[in-house]
Order: sequence, then C-alpha cells, then structure tokens
Amino acid sequence: MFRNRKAKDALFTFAFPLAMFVLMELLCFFLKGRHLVGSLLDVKTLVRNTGISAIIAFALSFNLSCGRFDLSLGAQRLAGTIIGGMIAMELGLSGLWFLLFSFLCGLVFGFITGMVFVITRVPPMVLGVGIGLVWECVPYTMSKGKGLNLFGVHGTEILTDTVFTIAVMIVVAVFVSLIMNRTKFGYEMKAIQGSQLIARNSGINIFRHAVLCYMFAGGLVCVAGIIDAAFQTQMSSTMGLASNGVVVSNMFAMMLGGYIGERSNQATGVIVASLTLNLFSYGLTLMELSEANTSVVNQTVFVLFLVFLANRYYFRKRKAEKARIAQALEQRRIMSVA
Amino acid sequence: MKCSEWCSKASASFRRFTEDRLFSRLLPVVFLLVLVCVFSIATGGRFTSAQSMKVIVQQALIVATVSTGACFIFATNNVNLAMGATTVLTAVLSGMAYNATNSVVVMVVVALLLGSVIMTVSALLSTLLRVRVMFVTIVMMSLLSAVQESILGGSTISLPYEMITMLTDMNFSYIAFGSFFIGCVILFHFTDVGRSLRFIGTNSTCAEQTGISRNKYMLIAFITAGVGCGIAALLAIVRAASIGSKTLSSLNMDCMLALVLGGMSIFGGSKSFAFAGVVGAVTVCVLNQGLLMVGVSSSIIQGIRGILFLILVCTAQTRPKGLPAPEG
Repeated sequence: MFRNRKAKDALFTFAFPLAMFVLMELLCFFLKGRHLVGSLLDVKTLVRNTGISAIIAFALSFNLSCGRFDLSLGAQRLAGTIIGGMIAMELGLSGLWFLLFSFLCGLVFGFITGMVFVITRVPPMVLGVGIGLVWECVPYTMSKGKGLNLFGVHGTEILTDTVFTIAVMIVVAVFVSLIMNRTKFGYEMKAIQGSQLIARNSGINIFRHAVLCYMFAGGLVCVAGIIDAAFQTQMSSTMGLASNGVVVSNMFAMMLGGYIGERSNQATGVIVASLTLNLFSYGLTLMELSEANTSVVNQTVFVLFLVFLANRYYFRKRKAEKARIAQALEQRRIMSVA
Repeated sequence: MKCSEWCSKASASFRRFTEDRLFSRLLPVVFLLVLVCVFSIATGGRFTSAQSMKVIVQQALIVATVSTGACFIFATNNVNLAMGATTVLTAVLSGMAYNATNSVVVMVVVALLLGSVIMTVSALLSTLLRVRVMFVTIVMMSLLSAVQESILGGSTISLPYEMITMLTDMNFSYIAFGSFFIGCVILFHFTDVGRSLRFIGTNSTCAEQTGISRNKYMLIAFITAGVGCGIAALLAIVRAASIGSKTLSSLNMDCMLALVLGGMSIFGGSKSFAFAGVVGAVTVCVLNQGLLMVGVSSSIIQGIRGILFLILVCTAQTRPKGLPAPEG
C-alpha cells in the first residue's frame, strides 16, 4: 500500500514535465516540423533557464509561503550581483568567488531589508517599493550606470557550464529541503504559515524568523543573478523598479512547485515546476511567438492556475456542507418526533 | 523624576501626537510646503516661477487621478500594483479607438469602460473566485504589461495634433480631473460607500458581521479605481499626444509614493482620506522637479525618494505590535 502510494506520488510529480514535453513536442513537430529539443544548445538553454528559474522560485518561497511578497527582491538581486561581481573582479578572483561574493552581498542586502521590515513593520509590499528604490540606486551609482560586465573576464567560464548550473541547483535544493524539513527554522515556518499570531503566542520568535527569511531569499536570488549575468556576459543596472520583472515572472514556478510538492517535497516540486514551465515557454518560443505573446500566454495560464488553486476544494466543501445540513435536519426531525 | 520615566512619557506623548488623525493629515501638507520653501531658496526663486509651477501641475494631474482612485482600494487595507499597467493599456486601446473612428466621444467611452472592466476583472478574481488580492494584483500587473507590449511591439500610437489642441484648449484635463476628484471626495467622505470601505479596512471580519458585504464594496472600490485609470489614460493622451512602450512606465511607483507621501494610511481604515493622492502627487512632482533643478542626478533622486518614502511611512503610521498580517 505504502509503496503504491509512493509510486503514485512520483508519477504525479513527474507527469507534469513529461506531459508538457509531449504536448510541446507534438505542437512543434506538427506546426513547425522540428523537435522541441533538437540540439545540445537546446539542452543547455533549458538547463540554464530551469536552474535560474528554480533558484529564484526557492528564494521567493521563503517569504511568499509566510504571506509576504517582497517587492524589493529584484532590486536585491541587482545590487547583490553587481556589487558582489565588482568586488570579485577588483580582487582578480575566479568564477566561484563571483558566486560566493554575490551570495554574501545578497545575504547582507536581505538582512538589512529584513531588519528594516521588523523594525518598521510596514506591510512587505509597501516596504518593498521604498527599499527597492534605494537598492536599485546603489549599484547604479557604484557602477556609474554601467552595471556588471563579465565579457572576457577570466575564470567566469565555469559559471556558464551546464554541469555547474545543475550542481548549484542541486545544492540549493538540498539546502532548502534540509532547512525546511530538518531544522527548527522549518518547524517555525510551518507554524507561522498556519497562524502568525498563534506562532508568536506559543513562543516562536517571528521577528528573527522574518529576518532569516529575507536573508536567505536575498542570498539565493543573487546566486541566480550571477549565473544569469555570466550567461549573458553582463547585468545592466536598471531603475524604476524594473528589476522586479525577473522575480515576478518566476512566481508561477514557485506556486506550481508548491502544488506539485504536496505529493513529494517542496524542493522537488519547485525544480519540476520550473522545468515544466520552461519547456512550455521554450516550445512557445520555437513556435515563433514573440516574448510579449509568450508572456501573455504564461500569465493567463498562471491566472487560471491561481483560480484552480483557490477553488480546488470548493465542490468537496460544498458537498460536506450539504451533508452537514442534511444531518442536522435529520437530527431535528428525529428530535421533533421524539 | 527619573530620566527613564521622563523618556517613556515623552515617547508616549510623541506616539499619541503622531497617531492623531489631524497630524497624519497635516504632516504631508507641511512637508510639501517645506519642500517648496527649500527648493525655492536653493534655486534662487526659479522653482516658484509660473513656468515651473505649470510643469509640476501638469505632471501631477495624471498621478493624482490614479492615486485618488487607488485610495478606495488602499482604504480596504489592500494594495493594487496593477494601476499603472491598467492606465497604460487603457491609453493604448483608447488611442487606437480614436484612430479607428476619429471620434473623441468613442475614445472617452472606451477609456472609461476599459479601465472599469479591467479593474472589475481584478475585483471578481479576488472576490468571486477567491484568489488572494496580493496574487491578483501582481499577476495582473505582469499580464497587462505583456498585453500592452504585445499590442504595441516597438511602435508608438500617435494621435492627431488638432484633436489634442482642441482638448487642451477646452481645459479637458482640468475638467476631467476636477469632476473625478470631487466625485471621489463625495463618495468617500459623505456616503455609505466610503464609510463601509473604511470599516472593511479597519476590521474586515467585524464589518462583514455587521452586514457589510466585503465583495460588493471591493467591487465598488475597484471600479472607482478603474474609472480613475481611464481618466488618467485620457490625460496621458492629451499631454503626450502619443503612447509608446515607455509611456508612464513609472506611474505605478509614483502612485504608491504619492499615496504614502500624501498621508494615506497604508493599513487602510478610518485614517484614510480621499485627497491624500492629490497632496502626494504634487509632493512627488515637486520633489522630482526640485531635485532636478538643484542639479541632483536622476539615480540619486530615486534613492532620495525611496528614503523619504520609508521615513514618511514610519512616521505617519501606527507601528503594529506583531508583524503585519499577510496581505490579501
């Protein structure tokens, strides 16, 4: 019975990318006469996009699963990646150090944002606007508007390696999985997800927990940032909260990952969801849909998924409610007869 | 009296003073006046010239219109990040409607209807379909921006000079904004709608148990905000005569800044007031124009705006004992 359930859960988890692959392969083949994955370059692109998307989704999940949406996460990614990269470049260090310095800078920016949040206690979305404006300004001023240019920088080739991207993704997934399932932090997270007030009254330090969430999110989003910057050989310094687009576009992966993860675990769920959505987007791109149109399709599917997520127990609840009313009426009838 | 006792009494009095409703309404006005004085002195009077003031008012009109509509949503303790995207998409489609029909009436009707319809969809998603407002607003922001990009591509929609001149000569912008603003103030402060929205913002559960339908009033709030977006789209067309992919790109951020700088309570409720958007919009434009005239670079202006935003949010709001509850 147990083994059967495990097999069912595994089937459910991997059915998403498999079904998406088959669907997009068929569409590509019949509409464009080509395969979804036809060359090594396609594999590399898919792995890179899935890795970046999954890491950002992990970062998002720290705050979003506690009901907070940090609007400054994109700005933290920008600031941490550019400043971390600039430090590593100034010191003449190699690729892994770029990753490490970006991660550390992300932790610092996340920590400061978290501290500001617990001190001011302004709603995260509102706070994110103010903090995001400031964080975007920092790398812009420090790099004099140039951003981070990694073109021809010795030692950064490792960051563009497909195996390295997979390795980083696995390390992040293991880290998130351990921290969520095997530590006090994860236990507190589950309590806060249930009710922040009850968690606080039962002795959980929700303020420390929030700062840690912001810190981890900042660190992870910068890891994704430096890998992305290495692939594109640069990261431009944007203003006007434009940096947030990358983070917002990965919210779907996080939400779908949470849903798939109900049958396995969150880490597997997020990776599988990222792969599924990247297969979808890649297929649409191969079918010559513009970036804007791909985004329209993606966001529309996301809206439909949110509607499904919010109402998936609707009929079950309604049935239970009807049964309860019927039972109450029956009880009343028996009592009136008696 | 011990020093610590004196400190705690002083801090309690300061807290009482800052939590006072009059303080939260007067602080933004005082802040605006101080800014005007400071920039006037720093620029040797150039800042208060008629030309400069005209530019500020014209810039502020669009932000003020969107912010005034957004007050209705803010009052219910919700945040809508899709206001900017709604306005731009409405401007694009109403501009296209004018080019197709050559009729100003059609353009106005399309703008007002489209703004309301987009906001109604957002409201229905969060009420009837029970998706959390936080998710609805983020997804709608991305979706509407993508639709706008998909329609425009890299092109720009230009409108005929004669039509723009005619509307400018008619003072269309001032009339449209004035009518909307007066309507909003009446609706928010002198009718049941405003009272109910503020009640929902203060305590949603209590409001529902008193017989106030949250869904109904959320729908009203979103539709009012949608009408604001429609009018703002028309004002943008009249001001720029063309709509491109970069038009009003900072509107969302300016709108949030305006509401906070205008003294709107970020937790909604009884401290909300409809003219916060106007005061805030003027403050945002004064700040932009003043800092530019003083010679501050645009990147630093953004940082200063962010810091001021945080300071004002913290000064004018009551700090909750716990962390803010999850949005939506």
